Amino acid sequence: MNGVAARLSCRGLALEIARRTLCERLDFDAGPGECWAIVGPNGAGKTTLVATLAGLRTPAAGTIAYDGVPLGALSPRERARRRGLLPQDSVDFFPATVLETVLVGRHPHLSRWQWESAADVACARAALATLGLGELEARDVRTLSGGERRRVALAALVAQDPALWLLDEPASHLDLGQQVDALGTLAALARERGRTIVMVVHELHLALRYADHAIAMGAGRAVSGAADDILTPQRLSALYGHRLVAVGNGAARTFVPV
Amino acid sequence: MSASVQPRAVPRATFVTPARVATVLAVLAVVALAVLTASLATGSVAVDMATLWRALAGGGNDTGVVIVRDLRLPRALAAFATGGLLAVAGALMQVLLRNPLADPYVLGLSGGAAAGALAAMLVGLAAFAPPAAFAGAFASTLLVFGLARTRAEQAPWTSARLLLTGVVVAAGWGALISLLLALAPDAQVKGMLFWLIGDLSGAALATPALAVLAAVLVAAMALARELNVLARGDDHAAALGVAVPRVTLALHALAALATAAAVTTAGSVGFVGLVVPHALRLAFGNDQRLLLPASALAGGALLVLADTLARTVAAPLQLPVGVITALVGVPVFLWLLSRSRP
Repeated sequence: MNGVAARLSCRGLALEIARRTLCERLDFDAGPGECWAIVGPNGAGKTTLVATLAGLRTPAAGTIAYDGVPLGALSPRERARRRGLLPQDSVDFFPATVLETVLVGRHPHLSRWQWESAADVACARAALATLGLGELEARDVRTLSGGERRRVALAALVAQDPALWLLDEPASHLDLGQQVDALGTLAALARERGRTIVMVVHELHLALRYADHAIAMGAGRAVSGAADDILTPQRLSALYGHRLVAVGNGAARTFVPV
Repeated sequence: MSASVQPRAVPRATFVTPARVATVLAVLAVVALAVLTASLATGSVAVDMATLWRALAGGGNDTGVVIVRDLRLPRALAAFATGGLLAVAGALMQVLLRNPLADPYVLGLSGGAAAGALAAMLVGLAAFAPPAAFAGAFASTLLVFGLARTRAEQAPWTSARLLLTGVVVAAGWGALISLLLALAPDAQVKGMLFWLIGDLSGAALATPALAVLAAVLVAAMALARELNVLARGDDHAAALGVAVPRVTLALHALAALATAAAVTTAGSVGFVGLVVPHALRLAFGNDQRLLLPASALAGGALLVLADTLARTVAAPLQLPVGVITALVGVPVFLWLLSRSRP
């Protein structure tokens, strides 16, 4: 990268969970405007990888850096200003309006006694509008449908506005149309603002459509590279333990099991 | 104990602004002052406003002034501090355990306090019941957190494990309390029972409790936005840069301190810590920057009102204030619960 540090760089990353190796020696650099897809079967360690990249888990070995700064040198708050994490699921324990829920994304940008400013509220409202939720800002989040809640969680991440977006199954709970709408919007926004997306996806059509790079995880290994090299029917057939064939063209291309 | 209170669309502002906080707190402060004034004026000797004013301004030595200054004012302030402490502790516990039905005693702290106080009474050191209660509460908290600790370095305490440990430790204290009651001579049993129910007639000093209330509130307010994020779950909070283990432990310590100060002042008064934050959340939402100070004012006002009733409804008989809070609290809580039925 001509001496410029990558937005997110991993060197020799090894992950273990309950003494089971999920991956070893994973190296990759993700730059601004890039979209990375993490694919693999259930239990391969995709969520663990994303949590580790977010600095919420300690890797068994290896280093992670944001813009060349090792994670260990960043406080939790500084990390939250540089990267956002969309968890696989969120539970709403207490009543809160949609706008309040999205404003929570501004938390890392405010100091201890500071209140959300008009600019923060405008930022949250813009994020809601981006995801087509402008009408819902006064609704209690617990009265929303699963798809609406998922988009609220995505809006909170857009309001947080970090440079690195780590998304764990962003399309879960969304119907087919919403998947393409929401991810298309996020991908366009990330490209326009020069953000980096690293996302776990189960839906191969979304990975093929939006990702320019990919990480394939499974059987204790992880390989990374350009999407065209990683997301191939041969490699993914081996990964999922089931024969896949390519169908469709362009944006509609996907792999289906036979 | 699952958090199964279902949503109900409550019309309110879409987010909390400082102006809204100021308005709500001003209204609650006026209510609290009105209740305090009424409490000072009410009792076996009626006191008029002029006497009340002289008593507060520090002048005179006539009966009315002495009654207000030396008897009713300290007791009303102790009631206010106790109610405020319990409501703030309840609000904190509800968020920490992500359970709108949690209360300050859910981790067994009141059992430890009661065992300490009753043991002091049994050995004839009733004057030392407050410090013994405080020591019991402290010991119980250490016990629960020590036993519930897991090996997970990132999240040493989970709410499920804390709750389970707290419930079992509370059962242990319950057995010890029953044993102390069984061993106690008849003459002491009534005093012990009043302590268990919660009673302000012997409330020693309001100042320490008020000081703890102020300190806990300021410290909790400093963490209020972190608490808002924690309300969405530990993972969410960690992702947004909250140092979850440290902040959680600090908030648990504040809730334990508030509860210990409350039970030390008035015994284990029930329901204030459960009902007040819950009702305020239904009315104003869950933003802790509003909920915490509002809980302090509303909890304080409620307990002053309850204690005024406790010493007047059956006069000259004095009822323990815990009877009133439970008699009022149970139907109010059931009503709130049924209102929020899906």
